[in-house]
Amino acid sequence: MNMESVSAIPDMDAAFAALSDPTRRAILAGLAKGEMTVSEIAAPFDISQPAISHHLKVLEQAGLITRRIDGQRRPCRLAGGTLEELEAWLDRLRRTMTANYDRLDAVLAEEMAKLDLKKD
Amino acid sequence: MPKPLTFELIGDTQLVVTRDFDAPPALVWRAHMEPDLLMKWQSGNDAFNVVECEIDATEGGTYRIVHSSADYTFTITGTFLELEEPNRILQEEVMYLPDPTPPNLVETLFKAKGQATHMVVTMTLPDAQTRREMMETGMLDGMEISYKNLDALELA
Repeated sequence: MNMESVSAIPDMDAAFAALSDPTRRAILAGLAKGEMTVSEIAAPFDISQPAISHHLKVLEQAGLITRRIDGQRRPCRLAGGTLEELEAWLDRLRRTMTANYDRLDAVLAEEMAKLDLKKD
Repeated sequence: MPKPLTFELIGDTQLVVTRDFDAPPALVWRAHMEPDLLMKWQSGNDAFNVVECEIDATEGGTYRIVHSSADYTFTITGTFLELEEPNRILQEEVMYLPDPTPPNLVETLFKAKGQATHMVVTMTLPDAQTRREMMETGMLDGMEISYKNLDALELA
């Protein structure tokens, strides 16, 4: 099965784990501008190339990036749709909770008014 | 003017949500534990409403909340593992979509802040399969529609 053609994230838990690391998030932010080689990715970071390669492996296994073979090089790019799906799910949950708690404000105001009436 | 909600992913499986309320913790606690109050704020409108709500607010006690729209019903059940009224709730929650989801642990803190409450909710994210099911049932979509209708009410 060609993973690039599947819109659903193969493993969301792996995606969350991959995103929990600041270096990996910075790598993804860089890749948002377009395809990069490993040395281009490593350039802004003060860490070894093997460490960068490890991060790339984690991102690739989580389905967040894809790599292709180009002679000796293996340039990386963002996997289409993956981050968007994760963000869409969280965005919906955030909106649901926002709506619930905005309604709770009204319920609390009503109960506070009742308590004030009792005091008078 | 509604208060802001913060919504932050911690590590790979935890979500922390914070929100302030203009009421003391004792009242915010009641709104979470008394069925008639909870039904008011967890019900949207014709998209999804809470149609049944039973809460046994004791340690080891269980709760059951049934949400229903015109064409879909889902049930949330859980057990209160630890209760420290009015400041802390630790509950284990299972959703029926209709198949049961793996249990999620939710800790809710209500901290007094003058006459107001600072709430911190820490939850374990449901697994990938559950998240996909939630998307597919449209249950989050339904709640989103409620939110839009709420905006419309405020404008009226």
